[in-house]
Amino acid sequence: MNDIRFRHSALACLLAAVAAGAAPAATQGALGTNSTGSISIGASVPNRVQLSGLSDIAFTNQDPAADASNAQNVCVWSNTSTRGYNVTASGSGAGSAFTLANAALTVPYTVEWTGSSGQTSGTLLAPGTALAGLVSGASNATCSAGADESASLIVKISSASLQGMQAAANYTGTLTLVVAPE
Amino acid sequence: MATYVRDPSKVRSPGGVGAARAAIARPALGTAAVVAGVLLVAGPASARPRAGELAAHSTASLSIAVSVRPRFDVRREALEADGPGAVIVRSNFGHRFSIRREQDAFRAPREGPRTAVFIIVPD
Repeated sequence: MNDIRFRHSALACLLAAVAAGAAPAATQGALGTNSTGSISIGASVPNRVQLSGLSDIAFTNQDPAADASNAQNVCVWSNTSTRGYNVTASGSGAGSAFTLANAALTVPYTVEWTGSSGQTSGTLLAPGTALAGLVSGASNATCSAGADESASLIVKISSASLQGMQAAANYTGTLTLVVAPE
Repeated sequence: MATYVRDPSKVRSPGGVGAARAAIARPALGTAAVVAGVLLVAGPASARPRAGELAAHSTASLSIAVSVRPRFDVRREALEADGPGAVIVRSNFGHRFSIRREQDAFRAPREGPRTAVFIIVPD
Protein backbone atom coordinates (compact mmCIF):
# COMPACT_ATOMS: atom_id res chain seq x y z
CA MET A 1 0.00 0.00 0.00
CA ASN A 2 2.78 2.43 0.89
CA ASP A 3 4.56 1.61 -2.34
CA ILE A 4 1.39 2.50 -4.30
CA ARG A 5 1.03 5.82 -2.46
CA PHE A 6 4.66 6.70 -3.18
CA ARG A 7 4.20 5.99 -6.86
CA HIS A 8 1.10 8.21 -6.95
CA SER A 9 2.94 11.06 -5.23
CA ALA A 10 5.90 10.80 -7.58
CA LEU A 11 3.57 10.78 -10.58
CA ALA A 12 1.78 13.87 -9.24
CA CYS A 13 5.09 15.74 -8.81
CA LEU A 14 6.20 14.80 -12.30
CA LEU A 15 2.93 16.00 -13.82
CA ALA A 16 3.13 19.27 -11.90
CA ALA A 17 6.64 19.86 -13.14
CA VAL A 18 5.60 19.23 -16.73
CA ALA A 19 2.59 21.55 -16.37
CA ALA A 20 4.78 24.34 -14.99
CA GLY A 21 7.08 24.09 -17.99
CA ALA A 22 9.99 23.05 -15.83
CA ALA A 23 13.46 23.60 -17.23
CA PRO A 24 15.69 20.72 -18.10
CA ALA A 25 16.53 18.73 -15.01
CA ALA A 26 19.65 19.36 -13.07
CA THR A 27 22.68 17.37 -14.00
CA GLN A 28 24.68 15.57 -11.39
CA GLY A 29 28.42 15.34 -11.26
CA ALA A 30 30.24 12.10 -11.71
CA LEU A 31 32.65 10.61 -9.24
CA GLY A 32 36.10 11.79 -10.27
CA THR A 33 38.95 14.10 -9.63
CA ASN A 34 36.51 16.98 -10.30
CA SER A 35 32.81 16.65 -10.25
CA THR A 36 30.60 19.05 -12.17
CA GLY A 37 26.89 19.46 -11.91
CA SER A 38 24.48 22.11 -13.14
CA ILE A 39 21.11 23.53 -12.38
CA SER A 40 18.83 25.77 -14.39
CA ILE A 41 17.47 28.96 -12.94
CA GLY A 42 14.27 30.66 -13.98
CA ALA A 43 12.69 33.91 -12.90
CA SER A 44 9.49 35.72 -13.83
CA VAL A 45 7.47 38.62 -12.42
CA PRO A 46 3.82 39.42 -12.69
CA ASN A 47 2.52 42.63 -14.23
CA ARG A 48 3.09 45.43 -11.78
CA VAL A 49 2.68 49.23 -11.64
CA GLN A 50 3.41 52.00 -9.22
CA LEU A 51 2.07 55.53 -8.96
CA SER A 52 4.06 58.06 -6.95
CA GLY A 53 5.08 61.70 -6.70
CA LEU A 54 1.64 63.14 -6.02
CA SER A 55 1.38 66.36 -4.01
CA ASP A 56 -1.54 67.94 -2.20
CA ILE A 57 -3.07 71.00 -3.82
CA ALA A 58 -4.13 74.22 -2.11
CA PHE A 59 -5.77 77.03 -4.07
CA THR A 60 -5.64 79.67 -1.38
CA ASN A 61 -7.29 83.07 -1.61
CA GLN A 62 -8.00 82.66 -5.30
CA ASP A 63 -9.18 85.59 -7.36
CA PRO A 64 -12.53 84.37 -8.68
CA ALA A 65 -12.07 86.47 -11.80
CA ALA A 66 -9.54 83.96 -13.16
CA ASP A 67 -9.39 80.18 -13.53
CA ALA A 68 -7.38 78.24 -10.96
CA SER A 69 -5.04 75.56 -12.26
CA ASN A 70 -2.45 73.24 -10.75
CA ALA A 71 -0.21 71.03 -12.88
CA GLN A 72 2.16 68.54 -11.31
CA ASN A 73 4.56 65.93 -12.60
CA VAL A 74 3.92 62.43 -11.30
CA CYS A 75 5.65 59.09 -11.69
CA VAL A 76 3.95 56.06 -13.20
CA TRP A 77 5.98 52.92 -13.72
CA SER A 78 4.81 49.80 -15.51
CA ASN A 79 6.76 46.61 -16.15
CA THR A 80 4.69 45.17 -18.98
CA SER A 81 6.28 44.59 -22.37
CA THR A 82 4.75 47.83 -23.68
CA ARG A 83 5.14 49.78 -20.41
CA GLY A 84 1.44 50.45 -20.80
CA TYR A 85 -1.04 51.44 -18.13
CA ASN A 86 -4.43 53.00 -17.58
CA VAL A 87 -5.50 55.48 -14.93
CA THR A 88 -8.83 55.97 -13.17
CA ALA A 89 -9.69 58.99 -11.05
CA SER A 90 -12.38 59.32 -8.38
CA GLY A 91 -13.38 62.32 -6.34
CA SER A 92 -14.79 62.57 -2.85
CA GLY A 93 -18.08 64.02 -3.98
CA ALA A 94 -21.35 62.13 -4.30
CA GLY A 95 -20.95 59.26 -6.73
CA SER A 96 -17.18 59.87 -6.87
CA ALA A 97 -17.77 63.29 -8.37
CA PHE A 98 -14.93 65.75 -8.65
CA THR A 99 -16.24 68.24 -6.08
CA LEU A 100 -14.87 70.04 -3.06
CA ALA A 101 -17.10 70.84 -0.13
CA ASN A 102 -17.58 73.06 2.87
CA ALA A 103 -20.55 71.59 4.71
CA ALA A 104 -23.38 71.78 2.19
CA LEU A 105 -21.51 74.13 -0.14
CA THR A 106 -19.74 72.48 -3.04
CA VAL A 107 -17.60 73.53 -5.98
CA PRO A 108 -16.68 71.33 -8.96
CA TYR A 109 -13.21 70.85 -10.40
CA THR A 110 -11.83 69.05 -13.41
CA VAL A 111 -9.02 66.51 -13.71
CA GLU A 112 -6.76 66.12 -16.73
CA TRP A 113 -4.02 63.57 -17.36
CA THR A 114 -1.32 63.27 -19.94
CA GLY A 115 1.34 60.62 -20.43
CA SER A 116 4.27 63.01 -20.43
CA SER A 117 5.62 65.31 -17.77
CA GLY A 118 5.77 69.08 -17.83
CA GLN A 119 2.34 69.58 -19.41
CA THR A 120 -0.32 72.11 -18.35
CA SER A 121 -3.24 70.47 -20.12
CA GLY A 122 -4.23 66.94 -21.01
CA THR A 123 -7.08 64.52 -21.52
CA LEU A 124 -10.13 65.23 -19.39
CA LEU A 125 -10.91 62.39 -17.00
CA ALA A 126 -14.41 61.30 -16.02
CA PRO A 127 -14.95 60.01 -12.48
CA GLY A 128 -14.55 56.25 -12.32
CA THR A 129 -13.73 55.87 -16.01
CA ALA A 130 -10.31 54.55 -17.00
CA LEU A 131 -8.14 56.42 -19.45
CA ALA A 132 -6.34 53.64 -21.32
CA GLY A 133 -3.54 53.34 -23.81
CA LEU A 134 -0.96 55.26 -21.82
CA VAL A 135 2.73 54.40 -21.93
CA SER A 136 5.25 55.06 -19.21
CA GLY A 137 8.78 56.21 -19.86
CA ALA A 138 9.92 55.57 -16.30
CA SER A 139 12.94 53.31 -15.93
CA ASN A 140 12.40 52.55 -12.26
CA ALA A 141 9.42 52.28 -9.96
CA THR A 142 9.85 55.61 -8.17
CA CYS A 143 11.39 57.66 -10.98
CA SER A 144 14.41 58.20 -8.79
CA ALA A 145 16.45 59.07 -11.85
CA GLY A 146 14.79 62.50 -11.80
CA ALA A 147 14.06 62.91 -15.46
CA ASP A 148 11.88 59.84 -15.49
CA GLU A 149 8.72 61.51 -14.20
CA SER A 150 6.37 60.15 -16.75
CA ALA A 151 3.01 61.90 -16.49
CA SER A 152 1.25 65.16 -15.71
CA LEU A 153 -1.79 65.61 -13.48
CA ILE A 154 -3.71 68.86 -13.97
CA VAL A 155 -6.49 70.01 -11.64
CA LYS A 156 -8.54 73.05 -12.61
CA ILE A 157 -11.39 75.12 -11.17
CA SER A 158 -13.09 77.49 -13.57
CA SER A 159 -13.64 81.15 -12.86
CA ALA A 160 -17.39 80.61 -13.03
CA SER A 161 -17.15 77.97 -10.34
CA LEU A 162 -14.94 80.16 -8.18
CA GLN A 163 -17.41 83.00 -8.45
CA GLY A 164 -20.11 80.75 -7.08
CA MET A 165 -18.09 80.09 -3.95
CA GLN A 166 -18.54 81.87 -0.67
CA ALA A 167 -15.56 83.91 0.44
CA ALA A 168 -13.81 83.17 3.73
CA ALA A 169 -14.73 79.51 3.44
CA ASN A 170 -12.36 76.63 2.75
CA TYR A 171 -13.65 73.93 0.44
CA THR A 172 -11.80 70.59 0.61
CA GLY A 173 -11.87 67.14 -0.92
CA THR A 174 -9.78 64.12 -1.92
CA LEU A 175 -8.81 62.92 -5.37
CA THR A 176 -7.94 59.23 -5.68
CA LEU A 177 -6.04 57.79 -8.63
CA VAL A 178 -5.74 54.10 -9.50
CA VAL A 179 -3.22 52.90 -12.06
CA ALA A 180 -3.32 49.42 -13.63
CA PRO A 181 -0.89 47.77 -16.08
CA GLU A 182 -1.71 47.11 -19.71
CA MET B 1 -21.99 110.13 -15.05
CA ALA B 2 -22.93 110.20 -11.40
CA THR B 3 -24.42 107.11 -9.88
CA TYR B 4 -27.11 107.49 -7.27
CA VAL B 5 -28.13 105.40 -4.32
CA ARG B 6 -31.82 104.55 -4.41
CA ASP B 7 -32.46 105.20 -0.74
CA PRO B 8 -29.83 107.54 0.56
CA SER B 9 -31.21 107.45 4.08
CA LYS B 10 -30.12 103.87 4.31
CA VAL B 11 -26.60 104.69 3.35
CA ARG B 12 -24.62 105.28 6.47
CA SER B 13 -21.19 106.71 6.84
CA PRO B 14 -19.04 106.84 9.93
CA GLY B 15 -19.80 110.53 10.21
CA GLY B 16 -23.50 109.87 10.42
CA VAL B 17 -24.29 112.07 7.49
CA GLY B 18 -27.11 110.83 5.32
CA ALA B 19 -26.00 111.79 1.92
CA ALA B 20 -28.68 112.81 -0.53
CA ARG B 21 -26.72 111.63 -3.52
CA ALA B 22 -23.41 109.99 -4.03
CA ALA B 23 -21.41 108.58 -6.84
CA ILE B 24 -19.59 105.30 -6.82
CA ALA B 25 -16.10 106.06 -8.03
CA ARG B 26 -15.33 102.79 -9.78
CA PRO B 27 -18.34 100.65 -10.47
CA ALA B 28 -16.37 97.79 -11.91
CA LEU B 29 -16.28 94.20 -10.77
CA GLY B 30 -13.86 93.71 -7.97
CA THR B 31 -12.42 97.21 -8.07
CA ALA B 32 -14.91 99.28 -6.09
CA ALA B 33 -13.87 98.05 -2.69
CA VAL B 34 -10.92 98.10 -0.42
CA VAL B 35 -10.69 94.71 1.17
CA ALA B 36 -9.28 94.78 4.63
CA GLY B 37 -8.86 92.29 7.35
CA VAL B 38 -10.67 89.45 5.67
CA LEU B 39 -9.85 86.08 7.05
CA LEU B 40 -9.31 83.41 4.46
CA VAL B 41 -8.67 79.92 5.64
CA ALA B 42 -5.77 78.36 3.79
CA GLY B 43 -5.58 74.76 2.67
CA PRO B 44 -2.86 72.35 3.74
CA ALA B 45 0.22 74.39 4.45
CA SER B 46 2.75 71.99 2.99
CA ALA B 47 2.56 69.62 0.06
CA ARG B 48 3.76 66.10 0.72
CA PRO B 49 4.39 63.38 -1.81
CA ARG B 50 1.79 60.68 -2.13
CA ALA B 51 2.78 57.25 -3.41
CA GLY B 52 0.84 54.16 -4.23
CA GLU B 53 2.15 50.66 -3.69
CA LEU B 54 4.03 48.62 -6.30
CA ALA B 55 1.32 46.09 -7.04
CA ALA B 56 -1.14 44.81 -9.62
CA HIS B 57 -2.98 48.09 -9.10
CA SER B 58 -1.40 51.16 -7.56
CA THR B 59 -3.65 53.57 -5.68
CA ALA B 60 -2.72 56.99 -4.36
CA SER B 61 -4.66 60.05 -3.29
CA LEU B 62 -4.14 63.74 -2.70
CA SER B 63 -6.13 66.39 -0.92
CA ILE B 64 -7.40 69.52 -2.66
CA ALA B 65 -8.43 72.73 -0.93
CA VAL B 66 -9.65 76.05 -2.33
CA SER B 67 -10.74 79.39 -0.94
CA VAL B 68 -11.55 82.63 -2.73
CA ARG B 69 -11.01 86.25 -1.90
CA PRO B 70 -14.03 88.53 -1.43
CA ARG B 71 -15.27 90.19 -4.56
CA PHE B 72 -17.89 92.83 -5.36
CA ASP B 73 -19.95 93.48 -8.39
CA VAL B 74 -21.25 97.05 -8.35
CA ARG B 75 -23.44 98.41 -11.05
CA ARG B 76 -25.88 101.21 -11.51
CA GLU B 77 -29.47 100.87 -12.50
CA ALA B 78 -31.09 104.10 -13.67
CA LEU B 79 -34.72 104.85 -13.00
CA GLU B 80 -34.64 107.83 -15.30
CA ALA B 81 -32.20 108.83 -17.98
CA ASP B 82 -30.66 111.62 -15.95
CA GLY B 83 -32.32 111.04 -12.66
CA PRO B 84 -31.86 108.96 -9.56
CA GLY B 85 -30.97 105.35 -9.87
CA ALA B 86 -30.05 102.35 -7.84
CA VAL B 87 -26.64 100.99 -7.07
CA ILE B 88 -26.64 97.24 -6.91
CA VAL B 89 -23.87 95.66 -4.93
CA ARG B 90 -23.35 91.95 -5.29
CA SER B 91 -20.76 90.10 -3.30
CA ASN B 92 -19.54 86.59 -2.61
CA PHE B 93 -19.37 86.86 1.17
CA GLY B 94 -22.97 86.66 2.24
CA HIS B 95 -23.80 90.29 1.44
CA ARG B 96 -22.35 91.52 4.71
CA PHE B 97 -20.45 94.69 4.13
CA SER B 98 -20.17 98.30 5.24
CA ILE B 99 -20.08 101.44 3.14
CA ARG B 100 -17.81 104.21 4.21
CA ARG B 101 -17.79 107.56 2.50
CA GLU B 102 -14.33 108.75 1.71
CA GLN B 103 -15.19 112.26 0.67
CA ASP B 104 -18.24 114.28 -0.14
CA ALA B 105 -17.95 117.23 -2.44
CA PHE B 106 -21.32 116.81 -4.06
CA ARG B 107 -23.81 119.61 -3.94
CA ALA B 108 -26.00 119.62 -6.95
CA PRO B 109 -25.62 118.17 -10.37
CA ARG B 110 -26.41 121.47 -12.04
CA GLU B 111 -23.26 122.98 -10.58
CA GLY B 112 -21.12 120.57 -12.48
CA PRO B 113 -19.76 117.15 -11.84
CA ARG B 114 -19.02 116.24 -8.28
CA THR B 115 -17.68 113.07 -6.96
CA ALA B 116 -18.20 111.30 -3.70
CA VAL B 117 -16.14 108.23 -3.16
CA PHE B 118 -17.59 105.35 -1.19
CA ILE B 119 -15.46 102.55 0.10
CA ILE B 120 -17.17 99.18 0.42
CA VAL B 121 -15.65 96.93 3.04
CA PRO B 122 -16.76 93.40 3.88
CA ASP B 123 -17.82 92.76 7.43
